[in-house]
Amino acid sequence: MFSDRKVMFRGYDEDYEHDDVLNHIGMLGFSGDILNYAIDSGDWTRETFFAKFIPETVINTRTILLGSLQDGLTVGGKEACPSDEIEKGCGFASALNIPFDAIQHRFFAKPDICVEDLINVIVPQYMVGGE
Amino acid sequence: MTDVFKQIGSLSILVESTSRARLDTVALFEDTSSGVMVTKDEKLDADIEVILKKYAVKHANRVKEKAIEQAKRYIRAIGRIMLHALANRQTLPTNALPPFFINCESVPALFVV
Repeated sequence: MFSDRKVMFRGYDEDYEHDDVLNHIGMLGFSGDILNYAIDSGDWTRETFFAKFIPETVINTRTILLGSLQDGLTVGGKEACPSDEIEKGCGFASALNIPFDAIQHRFFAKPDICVEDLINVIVPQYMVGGE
Repeated sequence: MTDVFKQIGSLSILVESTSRARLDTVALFEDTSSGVMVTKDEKLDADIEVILKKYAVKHANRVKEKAIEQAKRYIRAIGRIMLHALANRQTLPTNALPPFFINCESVPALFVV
């Protein structure tokens, strides 16, 4: 139903694999060695890096606009998930524990296109239209 | 939908004075290799402050509040566009949100041939 399709944010939680987190923040422009740099600095451990550093650096630095995006996705109607609780995610993906990859496959375009996909799209249709 | 999100990186707000004079624009998104991402609170705040100082705006606090409210409304509208797409069984382009914010697996290569 419509209400079940409100949100795609799943939330930054313990189910988010650390390797995926590192891979994904790498795509945001963070250095691939950021974990080692943080641990070498002595300010962070591996646990605190994922539990505090990542949400503080990537999520809580953008609360104004990320919160607004979430408000738009939830039509501002999910009281349990106001803008200041972005980390927890919201909606059915979080509640039903839908796997990360399932969300992307269902709601987002395929990030890679292989030859077979391309061939499937451009299969000619003879005797259709024209003369 | 793809066309919408192709342009979304250049979405910005127009900061206006209390007399509705158009001053300057502030970008709302940053580009990353995996898609667009909303700008940081600090950068949004600083970009507006720069404009306020540059034009020596009167009632700066009021102008700033209005600009931030406008930014929030724009981004909320983007959220609604995404929601509408999902509700109508459309898929969103991969650059609509970086994987970190979707919390999904992703394939880094764009084309695998």
